[in-house]
Amino acid sequence: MGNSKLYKGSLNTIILKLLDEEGKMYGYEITQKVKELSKGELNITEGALYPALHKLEAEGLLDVEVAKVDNRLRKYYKPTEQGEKETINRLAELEDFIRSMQQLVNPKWSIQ
Amino acid sequence: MAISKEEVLYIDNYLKFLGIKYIDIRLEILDHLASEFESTEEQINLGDFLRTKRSFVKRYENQWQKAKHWAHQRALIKRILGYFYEPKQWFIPVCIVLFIWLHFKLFPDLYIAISFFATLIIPQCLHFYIYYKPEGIHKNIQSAKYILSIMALPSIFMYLMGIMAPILKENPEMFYIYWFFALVFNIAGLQEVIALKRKIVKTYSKLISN
Repeated sequence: MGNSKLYKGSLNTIILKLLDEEGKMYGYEITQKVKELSKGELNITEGALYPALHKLEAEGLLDVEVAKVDNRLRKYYKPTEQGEKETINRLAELEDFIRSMQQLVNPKWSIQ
Repeated sequence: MAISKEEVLYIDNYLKFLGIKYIDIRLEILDHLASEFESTEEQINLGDFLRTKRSFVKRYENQWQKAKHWAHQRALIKRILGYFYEPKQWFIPVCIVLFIWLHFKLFPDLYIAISFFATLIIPQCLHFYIYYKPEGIHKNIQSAKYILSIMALPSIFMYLMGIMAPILKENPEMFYIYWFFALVFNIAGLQEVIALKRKIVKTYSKLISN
C-alpha cells in the first residue's frame, strides 16, 4: 500500500476482526489473509504484526494456544470474551472514523 | 511444500545463534519464518532467506518485553478495583478488615508490629519462591520472565516503610489504613502471579515438556 501510516492506527482493529471471524489464526496466516482480502493493497509486515499481537495479548484481548503442526509447533491467537466485545466497539469506532473522513474529503460520498 | 525436520532445526539453530534464548519466542519466529519460506515461489537457499530476516528477529524480543511489563501493572490495578466493585470479590477486603480489626482489639502492640511486617514480607517471599524454585518455568519461557514485575507495586509498601514510620506512629488510624492497602496490594499481586503462572504452564506445556 502507498501510505502505510494511513492504516497503522487501524491495524489492531483489523486483527481483532479477522480473529473474530476465523476463530483462531497464526501470525503468518493473518498477514496472508489481509493481503488476500485487500487484493494485495495492504501488506502487514511481521515487524508491525507481532508488536500489535503482543499488545493485544497483553491487554487481555487475545489468548494463545500452542499446537503441533507438521514438523514444528505453532502459536495460534484467538479472541478472549473481552476481545470479542472490544472488537464490536473498535469496529464501530472505525466506521465512525471512516464516515467522518469521507465527509471531510468527499462530502457527497457516503458509505451507507 | 512443508519444510523438513532438518530445516526446522536449522532455523532454530540460527535463532539461537542470533541470541534468541527463550523457547516461546523461538517458537513464534520459527513458525513465521518456516511458513513464509514454504510459501516462497522462487527457489531460494534457506540460509540466504534467513539472513534477510535478521533485523525482524532482533527487534522481536525487545518489543515483547515492553508490552508485557505494563500489562502486568494494569492487570494488578484491575484486580484490586475488582475487590471493591464486584460483589463476589467483596469477601477479600472484608476478611482483611476483620483480620486487622481482630489485631486491633485482641493483641498487644508488639504482636501487631510482628504481624504487620510478616504480612508485608511473606507475600514477597512467596512470590520469589514461585519464581525461583528449582523446577520453575522462568528459565526458558520469556512470558514467565516478567512475572516478577507484577509485585513491583505491592513492594512499594515495604520500601516506603522508612518514610512512613513516623507518620504511622503518630496516627494509629493511618497505620491501619496503610496496613489494609498493603494487604490488598500483596494479596492481589500473589493472585495475579499464580493466575499468570497457571496460564503460562497451560499454554506452553508442550514446550516445557520438550
